[in-house]
Amino acid sequence: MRNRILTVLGVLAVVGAAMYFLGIRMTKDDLHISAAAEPLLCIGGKLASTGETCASGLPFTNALLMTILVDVILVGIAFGIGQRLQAVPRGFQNIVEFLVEFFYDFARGVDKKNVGKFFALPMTIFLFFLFGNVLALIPGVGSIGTCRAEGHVAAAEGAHAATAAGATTANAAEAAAAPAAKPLLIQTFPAYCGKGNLFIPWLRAPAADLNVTFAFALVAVFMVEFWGFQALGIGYLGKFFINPFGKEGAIMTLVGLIEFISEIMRIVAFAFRIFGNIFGGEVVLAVMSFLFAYLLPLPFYGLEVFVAFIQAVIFAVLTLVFSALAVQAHGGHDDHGPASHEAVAH
Amino acid sequence: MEKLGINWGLLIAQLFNVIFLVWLLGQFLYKPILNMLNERTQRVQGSLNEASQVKQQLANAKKDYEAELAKARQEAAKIVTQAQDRAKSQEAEIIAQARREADRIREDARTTASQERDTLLSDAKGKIAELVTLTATRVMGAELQARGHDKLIAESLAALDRRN
Repeated sequence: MRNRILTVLGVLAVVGAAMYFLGIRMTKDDLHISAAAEPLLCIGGKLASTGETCASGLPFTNALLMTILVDVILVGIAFGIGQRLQAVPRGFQNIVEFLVEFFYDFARGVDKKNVGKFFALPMTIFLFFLFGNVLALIPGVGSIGTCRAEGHVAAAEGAHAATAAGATTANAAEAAAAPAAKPLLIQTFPAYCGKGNLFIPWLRAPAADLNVTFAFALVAVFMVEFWGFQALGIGYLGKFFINPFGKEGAIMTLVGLIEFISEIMRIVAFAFRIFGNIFGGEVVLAVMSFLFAYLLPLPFYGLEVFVAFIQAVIFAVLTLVFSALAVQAHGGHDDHGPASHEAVAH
Repeated sequence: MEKLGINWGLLIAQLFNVIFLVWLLGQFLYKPILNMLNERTQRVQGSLNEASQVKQQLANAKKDYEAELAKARQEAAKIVTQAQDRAKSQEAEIIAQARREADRIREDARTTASQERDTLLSDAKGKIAELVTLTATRVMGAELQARGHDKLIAESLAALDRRN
């Protein structure tokens, strides 16, 4: 068995090397990395001259499309499985039940009393990012898409197309000559656009778009603070603003202020942690494909599958732990507080 | 912000998406699943409890049954003993009665027999006396006086009596 695997890998390496030297490889022009999610359409507006952003209107980005896809899957699970539960579980119901029960047991271990209140948010974070990250690793998600003329042609194009998809074919000159763009879905495959063209993938991991991660981070942090106030009332602020002349001392005042800042910075930490990991993973895969597209990305793919899972878990578990900490009365053990948990997560 | 792709419209859309997802999944996925898990746990626990209860009941029933059986056996033995006792006492009574009856019958028979013998004897005495008188008259002749012989007759009868 082991020999067979090695043989297959060796043959693939030789074939890959041959194809590489025959010229079937990614060029620098094909390597397109954008930290921002690329708009597929600009709803009620037009593309900017660079072709990478919308000059006006709401950009309908590839990450938004993927978000909707993941939403559809999750809602489908909710209505297909959640509303048709069988006493004797079968097939996919087992998997969904396992995921929910696994996380519920964990959440109960963190905070048994409030688990019913907290549970829905971290569980949703976990499921959304798990599905989003793993689906984003399916080959084709980042590599099937549209070619769009890059740069200054959009000025001419914008005059014609109110809801310009900006999809054009081979080169910029052609795009300028024929501004009426081809339909979005009829495009080239694979993703070789040629010089002067932008490659716009149709799908992009939701976590590789800061809008998505910030939205989740804002909701998570807002709910954590909300639960804190709900449980402790105005006394929740007493965790951060400590009287320097009280029995706890001036150092604790400083610690409290630092914690207050870290509480707010959690929004950024949440948002950039998962964004950085997932987007970074995509960049690594892209760069490895650029260097040598045959076999080299394989180990990184395995790593990315792991990262996809672990980042979803981290976001969900941190939300859960912060919630549990927020509802606890101030006990003066701040050195075991949220800051140390955050440090572990990085 | 622009380079990172943060767009207020998109951000607000995503915020709505998050809230919508949390609400919808909480309502239509986690709640039913957790209820179902809870229900299943309870059902399994209930079944196990029921099974152990049934087992207990079965054991109890068996014990009851055996106790009942033992009691019945005892009862039967008692009845048999009683019956035997009664039969024995009845037997003894019957035998005693029979014996008494037999004694009475024998006594009766004996009395009757001795009475009859007495009657017969006295009859025979009379007859014999008559016969003796007749014979003596025949033998001794007419001359013999009746009164002179009365003494002789009485003597003969006394002798007869003695011989008996």
